Amino acid sequence: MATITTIPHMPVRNGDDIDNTFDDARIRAPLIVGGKGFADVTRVVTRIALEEPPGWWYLAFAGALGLLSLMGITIGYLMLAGVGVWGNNQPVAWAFDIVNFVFWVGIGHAGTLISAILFLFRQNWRTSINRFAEAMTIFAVICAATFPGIHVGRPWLAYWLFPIPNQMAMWPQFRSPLLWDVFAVGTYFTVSLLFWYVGMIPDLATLRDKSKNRIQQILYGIFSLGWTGSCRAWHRYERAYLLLAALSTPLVLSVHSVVSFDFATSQLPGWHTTIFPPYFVAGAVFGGFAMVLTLAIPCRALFGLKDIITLRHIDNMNKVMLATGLIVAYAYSVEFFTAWYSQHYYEQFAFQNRVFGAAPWAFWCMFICNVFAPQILWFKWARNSLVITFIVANFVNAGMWFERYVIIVTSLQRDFLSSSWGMFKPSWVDLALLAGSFGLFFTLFLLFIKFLPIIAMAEVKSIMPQAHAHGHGDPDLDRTDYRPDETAHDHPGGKAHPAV
Amino acid sequence: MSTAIAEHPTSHASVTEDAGPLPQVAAVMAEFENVDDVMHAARTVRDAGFTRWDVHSPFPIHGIDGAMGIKMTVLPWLVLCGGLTGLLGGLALTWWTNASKIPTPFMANLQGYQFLISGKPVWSLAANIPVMFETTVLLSALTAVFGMLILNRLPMHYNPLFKSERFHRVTDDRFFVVIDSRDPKFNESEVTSMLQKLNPLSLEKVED
Amino acid sequence: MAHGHHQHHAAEKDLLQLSGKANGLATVLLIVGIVAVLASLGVSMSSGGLKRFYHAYMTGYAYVFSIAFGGLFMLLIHYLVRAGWSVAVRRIPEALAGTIPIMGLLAIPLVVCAWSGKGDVYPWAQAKPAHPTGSWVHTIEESTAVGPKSAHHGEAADSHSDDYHAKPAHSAAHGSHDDGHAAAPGAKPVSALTMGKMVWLNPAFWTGRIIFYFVFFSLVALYFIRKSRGQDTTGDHTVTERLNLAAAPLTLLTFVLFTFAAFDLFMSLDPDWYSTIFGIYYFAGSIDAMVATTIIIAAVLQRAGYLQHSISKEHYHDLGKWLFAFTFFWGYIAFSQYMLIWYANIPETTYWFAKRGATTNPQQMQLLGGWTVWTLALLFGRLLIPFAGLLSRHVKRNNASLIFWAVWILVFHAVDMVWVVMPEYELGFTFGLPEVASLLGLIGIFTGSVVWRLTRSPLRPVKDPRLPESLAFQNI
Repeated sequence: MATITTIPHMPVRNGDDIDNTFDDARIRAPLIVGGKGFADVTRVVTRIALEEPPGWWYLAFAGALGLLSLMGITIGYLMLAGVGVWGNNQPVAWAFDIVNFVFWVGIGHAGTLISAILFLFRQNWRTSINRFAEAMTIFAVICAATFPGIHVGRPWLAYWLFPIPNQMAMWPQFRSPLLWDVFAVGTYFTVSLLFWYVGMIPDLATLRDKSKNRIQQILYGIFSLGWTGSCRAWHRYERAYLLLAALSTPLVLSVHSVVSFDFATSQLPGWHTTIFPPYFVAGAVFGGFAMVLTLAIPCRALFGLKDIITLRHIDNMNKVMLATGLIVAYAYSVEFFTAWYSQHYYEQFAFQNRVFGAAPWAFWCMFICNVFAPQILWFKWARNSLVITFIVANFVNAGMWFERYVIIVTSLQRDFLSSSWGMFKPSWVDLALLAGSFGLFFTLFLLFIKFLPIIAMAEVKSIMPQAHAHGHGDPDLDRTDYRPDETAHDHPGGKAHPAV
Repeated sequence: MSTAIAEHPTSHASVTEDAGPLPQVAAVMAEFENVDDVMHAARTVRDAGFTRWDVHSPFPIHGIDGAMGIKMTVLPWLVLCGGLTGLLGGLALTWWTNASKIPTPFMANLQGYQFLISGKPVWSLAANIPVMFETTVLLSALTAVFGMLILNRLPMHYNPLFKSERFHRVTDDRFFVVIDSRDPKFNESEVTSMLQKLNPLSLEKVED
Repeated sequence: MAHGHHQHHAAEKDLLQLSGKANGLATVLLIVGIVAVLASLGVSMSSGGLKRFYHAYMTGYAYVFSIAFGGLFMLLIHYLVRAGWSVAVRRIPEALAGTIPIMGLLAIPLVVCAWSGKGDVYPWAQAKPAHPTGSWVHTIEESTAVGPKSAHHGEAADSHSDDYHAKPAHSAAHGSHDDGHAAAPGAKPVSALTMGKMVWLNPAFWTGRIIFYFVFFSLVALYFIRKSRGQDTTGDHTVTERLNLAAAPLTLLTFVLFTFAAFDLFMSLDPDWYSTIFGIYYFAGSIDAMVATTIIIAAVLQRAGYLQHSISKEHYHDLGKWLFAFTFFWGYIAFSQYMLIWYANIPETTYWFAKRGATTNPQQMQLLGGWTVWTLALLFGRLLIPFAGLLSRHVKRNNASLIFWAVWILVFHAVDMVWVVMPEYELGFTFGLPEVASLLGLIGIFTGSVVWRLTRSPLRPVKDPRLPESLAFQNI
């Protein structure tokens, strides 16, 4: 057979990046480089959480807190003054609030995609990035939930969104897509949080065992629930993880689909189109991966994680970003084609208006950022350049915000009757809340990288070559003899014990 | 006192009553350096017919379930039940609140009411599917997580294994085979000599 | 112990070359298929004429083309993501994809129909369509005696279309009036909307596109198949690497062209109607049916003594997961399409579902009740029942139960294709012998071609660098 067992020479790039992006069909590239063993992974990762943070962390945290305070103050002002201080008007009743909501929910999709869908696809490279992608998901969903929360006008009555029995005998209106959002985003947040936490239990136990500080030991001890790495526990843990992955996969599809229903169930040209659900999901993954890259590139450099988040990881994420970007470009094209094909005056007008009409700058920003910029990722040199990757990722971050602006605002500005047309101009409150939401996001993210294990250590270890028994051949080719439903037959000598 | 084996925890009291005097040794623990060694040890212990024992490792080892003789957990079936509950619950919730007029006994104002919106029928299944889907996933996921924790007897913050300094490396880079002293076949000297033959890095008695 | 090694050594002794009997089988299937299609034609002539036959043929064609294309897409994705597990079964999608040139030939009757000028299948392809009416909406209302009566037709409908519909439609509508347009007898009315899109939907441009699609798909399929087969002798690992790279742009182009083929071939059966997701709808069914076909072919080959140690329970389990995933994905896409159109309730698009019996209007149901049952059958048979059935891993790891569900999916994929095509034949339920004969006939021709394709190379790649990985593959 054509198999080889020796890994080809991997050149060093950018100073100290070991380039494991080679393409040789005879062998799977190593995902952890630099000759690392289990203890090295533990040391590199636990150090970040257990030691005093570096100086830049305090600076960044101060900046994030500053933006967060801006958000707090602005929300306070909004409560006192009412949502009239936004630029929203008639006909543009949804503007920055919903744009920001969809933007942040979208970013929240990459985490679950990486932890669930890539898990089901057995993409082992996910293990290096899944933890902080999941954290990013949770923080992004918190940012997202803030906006509809304050948009209800009287946030202290936001509990009306939930079916809670009350003295007014009032129930939510379950036929409304906005209520589906409450259930979809609420479920998504809960399940993502559980997924994140369950994944973290073994790593919290590692922090517990590595810590020399009594307070840390107690806190990590409490949250690691007394985990001992028992293989009987691992067995159920892995099954639970697989089940969560299998549940999160349709969930992640459903969440952004439901968000898209907010628009697509209406009759407004530019909103009502059947491709919205899958198109929104692809866009969410696209924007989410851009944000993962935006965070991963500095993190790996600042925390010395270059051997764990390798160039191959960056390369793979770039490929996913390119692929989802192309799906988004496909959706744009089909929308334009169908608008013409429908031969409906208003459909055709809505799309002309996007490109040449009331706010064409938004469309062109979106188009350049989302469709043009990622095309450079067809080239391997671009995918392997951290600078280019970082720039493209930020183009996409911006582009995905503009996409929601284009869909929401420009469609509302020009509906059926020219007498009801209007324009939207953001107020300072709109802009301050957008900036402030980044403050909320980065505050949470910086707290996370300081206090929690930012790499899924147990999962990374499980994909290292040393983790496989009979490690004389290629680890990926040489699996072990476990076949769950044949255990009893495989080992007639051994007594099979029920796990429950 | 409970031992390291999460599978069969017993309270201090019950052990004292059932087993008489407090055992000196809660378990015997052998430390291994790599996966091959611990897999081999696991097969040996399994074939020797022990039932109250466990392997501890920093990550899930592929193939260890077979080597230890662990059978498939019932967790998926619990999750299926959780999911069905969520599905029916979501169906009942949307139907009862928006499409029925069924009052609740003793609670006069707790009942569903019918109203028309955007010309949709009072009971519009298509519009309720998103909510039913989300409740299904929510209850399934909650069952998966809490079912796993309950079956694994977690949280359990006291464990005699934690007293061992060596055992701290179980979440880092070492592998342990732990045989509980309450195993019917447990005999301290025999167990020790069996484990000794497996070339462990260290062998330790865990005191309760 | 190392299961993989056992698997590997055993697999090397596997029977990999189809015996000579397979050629005979392929010939029989082809002949039976052609006879069945001719029978469909014969039966149609006595019940609805050529138009009925074309619709029946279109149903069968939608079915077999979707599976052949699914094979091509599977190949592309296999290389795009550098998959390992699927190497051992890859010859089956290769054989499916290898029939794409034949699919091109089988499209000839549709092209002939488009050029016949009668608009038997495609109303837009009429040489002289009846004068424009508002749209199908009016037709469905009149035929079922619901809503405003015939006053709506003619003048009222025209004025409606004037102010409501597109500007090009406006001029097209009046242009044809002014010319003293004479419709051919029995011509279908074509709406002002359709008149407006005749730049895109006209026999010449449409035929050009169809030829382009099939030439493109055929070249891609043959390129991948030839390279893969070449590797059987050379064992050159760079072949795999080159195909990995080629797959990226080709997957993109193939997908885009396929969705446009779906618009051209099937969405334009009703030229008024449009749905941006329609291409993905057909795509989802196509992949699901391909996976089901792959499972069945693998099982049949193993039962006939081939590939005994090459394809294991693990491969079936993975194929089962794909079957489950795409059953759900089909449901997701179908639900998205239906729910959005139902919810927005815009007459220009909802009527498409009404024609398929998705209506609660009692008078419409009198005429369309058959389709109502059919739609419910689709909901349960295509989505809910197989979803529940395929949920358990035990079902996917048991050969007999997996085959059962694969057959089930293939049957309900046919139900789906009938549901897409046949309501366009006329308002009311139409399904009978011509459709069954056409479906079976085209399946016969397709299966014969697949068998012939399978005889042309070893039944699994023999020197693919990722073959050992595939043979040793195990699920967690």
